[in-house]
Amino acid sequence: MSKREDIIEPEMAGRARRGLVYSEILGWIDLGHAQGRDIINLLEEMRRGEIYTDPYYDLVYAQSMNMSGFCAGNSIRWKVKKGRSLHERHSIALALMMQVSLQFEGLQVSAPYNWFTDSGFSAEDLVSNLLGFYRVVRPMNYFPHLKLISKAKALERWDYYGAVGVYKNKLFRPLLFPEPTVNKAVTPSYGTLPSFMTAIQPFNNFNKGVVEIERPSSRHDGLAFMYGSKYACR
Amino acid sequence: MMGWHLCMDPNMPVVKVSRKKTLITFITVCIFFIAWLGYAVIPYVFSLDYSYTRRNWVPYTLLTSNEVKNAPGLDDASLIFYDARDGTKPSGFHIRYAGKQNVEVLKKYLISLGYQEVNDPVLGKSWIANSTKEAYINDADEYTILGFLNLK
Repeated sequence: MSKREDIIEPEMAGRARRGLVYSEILGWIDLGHAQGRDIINLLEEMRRGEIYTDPYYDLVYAQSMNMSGFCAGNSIRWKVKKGRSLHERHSIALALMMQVSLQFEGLQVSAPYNWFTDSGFSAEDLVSNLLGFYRVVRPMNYFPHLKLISKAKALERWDYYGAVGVYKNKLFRPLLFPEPTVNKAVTPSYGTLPSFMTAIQPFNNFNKGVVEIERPSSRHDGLAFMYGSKYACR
Repeated sequence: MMGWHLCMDPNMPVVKVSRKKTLITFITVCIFFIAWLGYAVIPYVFSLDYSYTRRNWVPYTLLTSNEVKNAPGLDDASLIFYDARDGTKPSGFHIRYAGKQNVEVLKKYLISLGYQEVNDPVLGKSWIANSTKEAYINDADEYTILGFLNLK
């Protein structure tokens, strides 16, 4: 749930673990979501799976929200055949992240969770998750390529359009908030992902026995209200 | 005997009423205390993120980790941010000091807590403890930030 006071100077973006910046390419970016911690853990799980003796290994990916003891989230479990190349692993990781992100944001946007947060499908969430993915699998400093605007300019955008959580984005595509001009009405519109954020395609070939879906993500999968009771809240 | 009863009876009800009043007062105080606690705590419990200082008694005393409370240089002007886990965003506390802090002192503090320095491929230098916790120091701006994240 991004707030106006989360907006930081673009020079800080590369090392920041939290904060909000505006990019002319990706729109709002939540730097907390764009850390890629989930992807680091997932790739490590795959690396360990690849050296096990079993011909298949289980992959569990989860997203959740915790509020002082209450936890709700979504998880997914796939069985992966050993022998995946690094590129295939990235493709599988991307598919897992995208599926669970959509389910989790859908959970957040529904009652009763939307009574407490406007974070569900907030304009910046999915695209920030995607940036986090690429920061891990293709490590480089992306921010110079994303045309971040100054904090003062970003605050102007926020003040003109209002809270970013009001705008819902259900796509892994940038939702852009054009610079307000004096005589012309401007409205948010979808942009296009830069080529360096489309280099990997999410895995979708389930017919060759490479990946078996053990437990698909759904509205209620992994939903839990107490610590440690389901995958999503482990 | 009659005289004895006449002498004792007027006192007995007084004692009973007094105990009843005490009990009612105690229950009322408890209800008000629980209601106040709920009123004061619930906004934090059902929030995905919030910020406060040491002067905010409820979040500082009840909800802040000892790592944050004992951080060097933490004063009433320091702002503490809490982020709950929200999808891919890990939960954690972040201290934004009012100005610059001695980074070496902060590093020694993290090492004393059992953190080990690592080089994060995405975010640069950080400190890891038990593969489950990460700390970081950001000194690039006009104020220093010390953060603690839960990675699991």
